[in-house]
Amino acid sequence: MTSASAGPAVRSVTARPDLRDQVARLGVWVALVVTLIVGVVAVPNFATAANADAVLRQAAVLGVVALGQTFVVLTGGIDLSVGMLMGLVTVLANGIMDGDPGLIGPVLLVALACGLVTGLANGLGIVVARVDPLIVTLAMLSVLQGAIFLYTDRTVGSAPDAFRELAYGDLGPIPIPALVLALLAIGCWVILDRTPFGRYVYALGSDAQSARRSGIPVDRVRLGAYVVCSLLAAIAGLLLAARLGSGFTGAGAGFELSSIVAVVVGGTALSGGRGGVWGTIAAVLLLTMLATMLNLLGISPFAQRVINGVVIVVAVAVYTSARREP
Amino acid sequence: MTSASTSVPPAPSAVEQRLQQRVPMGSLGLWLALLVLVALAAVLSPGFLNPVNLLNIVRQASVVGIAAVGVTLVMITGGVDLSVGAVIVFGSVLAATLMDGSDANIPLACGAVLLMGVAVGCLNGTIVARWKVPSFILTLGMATAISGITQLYTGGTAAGEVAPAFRAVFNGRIGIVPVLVLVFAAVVLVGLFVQTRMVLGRRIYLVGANPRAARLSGVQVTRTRIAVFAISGVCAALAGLVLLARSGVSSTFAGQGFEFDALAAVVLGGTTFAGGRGGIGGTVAGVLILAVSFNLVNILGLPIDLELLVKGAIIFGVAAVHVAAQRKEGLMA
Amino acid sequence: MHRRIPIAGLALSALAIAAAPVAAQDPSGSPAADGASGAPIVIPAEYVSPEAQTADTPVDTSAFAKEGPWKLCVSAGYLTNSWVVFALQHIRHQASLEPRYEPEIVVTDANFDPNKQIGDIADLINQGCEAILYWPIDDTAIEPGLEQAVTAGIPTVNVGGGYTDLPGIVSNAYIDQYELGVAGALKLVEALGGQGTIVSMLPIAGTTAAVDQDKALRDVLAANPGVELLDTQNGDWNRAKAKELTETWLQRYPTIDGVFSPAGQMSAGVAEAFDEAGRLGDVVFSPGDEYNGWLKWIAAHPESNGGLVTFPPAAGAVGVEQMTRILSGEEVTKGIHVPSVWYAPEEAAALADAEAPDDWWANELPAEFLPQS
Repeated sequence: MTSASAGPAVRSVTARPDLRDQVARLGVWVALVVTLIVGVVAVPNFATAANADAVLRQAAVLGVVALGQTFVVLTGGIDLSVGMLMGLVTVLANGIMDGDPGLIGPVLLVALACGLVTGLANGLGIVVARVDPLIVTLAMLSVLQGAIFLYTDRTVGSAPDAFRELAYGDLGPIPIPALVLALLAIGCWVILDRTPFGRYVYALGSDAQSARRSGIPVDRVRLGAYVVCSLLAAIAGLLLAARLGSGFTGAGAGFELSSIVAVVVGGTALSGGRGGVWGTIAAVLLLTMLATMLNLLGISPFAQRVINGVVIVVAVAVYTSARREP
Repeated sequence: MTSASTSVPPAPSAVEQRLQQRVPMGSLGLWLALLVLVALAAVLSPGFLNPVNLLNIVRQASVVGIAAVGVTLVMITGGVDLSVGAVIVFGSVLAATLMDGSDANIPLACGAVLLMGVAVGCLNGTIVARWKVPSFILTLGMATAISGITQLYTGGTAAGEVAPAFRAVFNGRIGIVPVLVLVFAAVVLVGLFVQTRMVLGRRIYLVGANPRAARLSGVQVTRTRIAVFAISGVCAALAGLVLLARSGVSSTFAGQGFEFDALAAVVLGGTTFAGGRGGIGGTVAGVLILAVSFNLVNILGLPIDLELLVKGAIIFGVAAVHVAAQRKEGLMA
Repeated sequence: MHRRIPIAGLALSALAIAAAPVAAQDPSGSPAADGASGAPIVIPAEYVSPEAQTADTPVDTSAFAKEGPWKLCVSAGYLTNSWVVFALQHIRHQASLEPRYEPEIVVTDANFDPNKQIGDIADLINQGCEAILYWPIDDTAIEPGLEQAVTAGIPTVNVGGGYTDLPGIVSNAYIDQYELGVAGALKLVEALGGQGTIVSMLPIAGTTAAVDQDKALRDVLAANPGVELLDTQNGDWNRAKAKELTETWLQRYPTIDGVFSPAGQMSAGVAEAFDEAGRLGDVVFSPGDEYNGWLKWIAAHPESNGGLVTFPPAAGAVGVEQMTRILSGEEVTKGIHVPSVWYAPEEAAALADAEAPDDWWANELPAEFLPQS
């Protein structure tokens, strides 16, 4: 992963630099490196190009949607609608293209339009109607699922070969989905770390009251975060559409939770204001690699589930304990 | 998570505290919204207001409702419990295997299930309170682990057989009132008693509003946190018993989403992620609103696409009306 | 848990390989001739399954032929459902009978996430699996992953999903949801005497099962205008949800004469709601499947049910046999039909195992292959 070299250099501009916070952010990287070493040493067939390829392609979909979720969680919010938005984009994209490469362009526009509309609707519900983000996005989840079934009652369409490249192609030695994830991650990092909007996101999440008092356009920033989140979920939906090659109505279900897990395991605090892009990326790689390792070791699925749960609990316990007050 | 409209208040404002005392059953707007939905359903379906039907709807809501009572107390302290769905499913499977079709095993089975709930709750609470782990992610991980344990325990199918007397009693009625509705009502009353009349109730609000101030004023924050998670675990385990009574041995499918139904009801009822406010009264309204909404959507006989659209609209609409009403109340008080 | 349901012929008939076209000629659908084994289902020729049109196409397996021992792997779309758990146990049992399979079978679980199931299949390829059985989250959504296996020379066989004719699927051991839907709907219409109102309880919206069963019912009703479909709901294979939805039906409709519900797991919840409302006497049920909770209900209420159309988890065993042929280089067809079997109510009642849990399936597995903790 090229993005790894950029390291956890993210630092919120408004928040005081805090050693413990840095430790919490490094935690996921330590876990990632340890997992990698264990995998290379102890897991057969792990240290192969084919496995790296499989991990990166699988991680890219979760990675992109988790990047978007990071923005929302940094503001202290939550977005439960991302999974169904991915599902809607998957169904629409493959349904519209139905094997015709000439329609790739229009499909990209449709996907981004879906993202934009969903993000605006979520954001307006939260900042104008002042309804809790959990309720707004839960309602949106239902609406988007309704939209999926309004379009089709079954799996539809197919992705043309050119579009499938988005999931299965390579650029030189790098899988295209990994490249997409890396570019988006860099883009998100630039936005969060180098623009006023990014600073406002952190400020809003740290303390909304004082952010408002210091003249930050709190409502517009919050709205922006939900729009960014939905746009990234729409892009994740395009990756998923390419990967599945057909429009399955239940394609996105579950990504709302797995993206939140990735964000939090990556060290972004659910209370907002602390964390960032690279922790999320590390967590996505960590979780995907772990699932792959358990598969390669032939661990029974029921035991895998227990292990997954325990890993989430232990990971979060370990580095929140690094962050807590003395 | 802070709510959208305000950041975390240092302590419940005087207004809110007064409201809390004056309206222990939650905000008026919420109950009005429920009334509107009931009226709408009555117009659309002549049989809706039949007492048996109304009680059936409450019985349908009892599994989620009982779990939501526990989740409410956790959320007042500023936490959340997403492990309740997995505990409900594990509880019902555990009870059925321990009963093994024999009435003699009922006390043992129920006792063991409730103990399991306490154990899970104490574990959740201890990790949250001692290591300051965000409860959202902790209980999500715990849910995954518990559903894996459920599958390991049963070999993948919902094993066990419910004792005949257990179903006969708990799925029965006293007069026209289903026993499970009485169980739900009892849990709500106990919860309201804890919330409004016991020292623990006051401590829960203090911890949620401002843990530091609570500690300074002598509240044992850690113990309070562990207590609410333990209560939530017991409630979820009890909800598992209710599920078993209602539908017999069902499945090991933990993805049924009970935890999010409960969470939605609590948040709809006015208890926020920020903690320090809300209460069980509002949650009961939230549970009933969701139950009546889903019933209403089914009454309309819509195809699944429109059904989901309407469901989304109702959830958002009720919440928006409730928020608007609350702000008005806050201004007038 | 050493329980066993002794049913002569149930698994046997499921294992009998019917290479014949789905819509056979004989429209009689005669009830069981040989007692306990149930009767083969023959649906009238005018009902043509939307699936399986190309099931007879021969498949060249020479590219997949290899010497044993073979490493057999299973990619599960989900495992939170007793049917798939029993299908998996049938796979384990059948593989144990063939010495060329390695004793250890690797199983992965995608828990309803098609993105992960494609990843799981890649993991199976990367660890040297030589044969992949799978049941999909969705019949087509994981095909690109399967295509990678086939490209790598690893045969793939669909177990118990719908028939799917795509390059990534070497062969299908399929159960025809349309066929069992038509069979169930015809039995229901017959029981109603061609007159009355019915409701329909289907599985998760968008799944092949829901789509095909719905089409089957509507096709049958088109030919039987005396029967009116009041409403369709998705009970998601969930007994509690089916019961809840039925309570609403009971409130909405003062008369319901029949219930179409091919999945026994949901039929049990539907029937309970009718019972609690005191309306069990007014209604007839379509055949359900051999879910033990439904079999127990049939045994206890012979008057109100329409018997049984099986949905055999022994599809797992059929899939293993098909895989053995492929790995041996024998010619196979693109699809191998795992036939559903019809049991009249009194025969179906005999299949119920009062000792076993509700969440259990009629089977002929040896005790050591039953699901256990």
